[in-house]
Amino acid sequence: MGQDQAVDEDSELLRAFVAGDRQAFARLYDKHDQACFQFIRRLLGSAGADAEDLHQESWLAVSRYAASFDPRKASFAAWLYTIARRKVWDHFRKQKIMHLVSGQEDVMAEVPDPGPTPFQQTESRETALAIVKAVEALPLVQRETFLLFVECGLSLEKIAEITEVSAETSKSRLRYARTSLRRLLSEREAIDG
Amino acid sequence: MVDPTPDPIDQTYRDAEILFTEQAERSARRARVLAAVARDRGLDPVERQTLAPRFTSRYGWLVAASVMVASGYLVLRFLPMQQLGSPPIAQTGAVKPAQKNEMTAALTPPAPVPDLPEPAPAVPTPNASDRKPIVTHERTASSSKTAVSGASPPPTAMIAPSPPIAATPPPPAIAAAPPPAMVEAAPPPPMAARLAAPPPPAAAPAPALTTDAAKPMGELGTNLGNELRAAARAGRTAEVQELLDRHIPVDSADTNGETALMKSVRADQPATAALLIRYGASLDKKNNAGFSARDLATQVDDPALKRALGLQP
Repeated sequence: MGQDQAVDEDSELLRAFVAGDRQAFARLYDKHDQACFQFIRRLLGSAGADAEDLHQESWLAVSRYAASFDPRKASFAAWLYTIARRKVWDHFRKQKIMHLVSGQEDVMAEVPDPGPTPFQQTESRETALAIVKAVEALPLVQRETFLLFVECGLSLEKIAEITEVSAETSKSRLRYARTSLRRLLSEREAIDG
Repeated sequence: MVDPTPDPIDQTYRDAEILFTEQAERSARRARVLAAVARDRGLDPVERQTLAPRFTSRYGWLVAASVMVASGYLVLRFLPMQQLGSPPIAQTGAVKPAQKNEMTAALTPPAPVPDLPEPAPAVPTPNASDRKPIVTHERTASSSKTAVSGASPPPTAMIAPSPPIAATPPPPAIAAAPPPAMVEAAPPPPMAARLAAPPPPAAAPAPALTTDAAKPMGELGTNLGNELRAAARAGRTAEVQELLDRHIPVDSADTNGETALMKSVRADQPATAALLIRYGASLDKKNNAGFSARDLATQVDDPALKRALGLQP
């Protein structure tokens, strides 16, 4: 219910913007800015220096093509992240950065819930940095699925639409991403003693 | 499909990201994006589609050069006749500025609103083409191999967008001051009057700098550090100096830890780099990747740049 209201509100804001209400765009931006930027930045990973540019380009695209947005086909969030994702993938193609697929998916198994999170145990910037780096080290398809689910709060079905795979594949990718993260973090904890 | 249950690792990541969320950066980003959108909205979509291919195509420079040559020819061809007082020719010349004004009027942004900053004036400046902060061009997405999803297809125009006119404005010679023949609609004054009149003023000052300098600090953008870095990257030395004279911290860094000096070094802008050094920019401050401006300079094969940084005699 709440999600539906948010979807309607986004559509209304975009429609108001198309009608000439610029403040509506600012409100829409404020709602999605942070998650969108984090999504782009973490998806870029080591190429994160271009995150600001791609973020701006994504919102410019939203502005330019706002009139063609059809809320019956997709939610605004799905539309926005489709745009943002394509900006990042195009960027990778131009930069010839291709680490899109990893063979890890075939060999990883789901790991049970480890209980308290590492962050709760040691709230330090180093730990936080390690977690972020671990996310950035994920294979790209897993990373984008994880970010869309965790950072952007999208459902698996919407993620599947955005990433153009089946919902089952999205679910698998999310599971693999979580498993990888836990493994990376447990390795780090082992190293740190 | 039912979404998987929340996993503690999800919250771990969210908690970690909070530590890397800087409110100041977010505000600066907001101002920059909304300003870019406001400027971009200043150009009517129809005009954009009409004009963009004309000036941003591969041979846009050829078109621009042809226009300049033609304008020059018109000046040479009709100026003597106009000086003889031929009214029809003067009117012919006077038509062209009106056409150009229509184009610049299309670029002129609409009235401001509180949340979206007022777009910059469309009058071209000598440095208008290389202002970095407003990225108005689209990255080409047409090469994307991924098929458009039937459930959530982005607009076709988004898949293969054409860059707007604002991305690569025509050379200043086209949209800037028209040729003398086009300006001088009235016949020249008599020689005696010209001799009696005071001499004309010297060359007009640089419009961009003058315009910006006349503005209060707030109008230059909420994050002048961004302005400084963008100007440094583009080699707009006068603008850099102006900002530094306003006591903008010379070593202010962006989210990646990049300073104006690093930007100027990367872009191989020796004059700007030298100016920043004179204002005390650090050669040894490191970005998030651990590289200093000194390190970056070693990757640029330009002796002038190294001399500007004092790394080479």
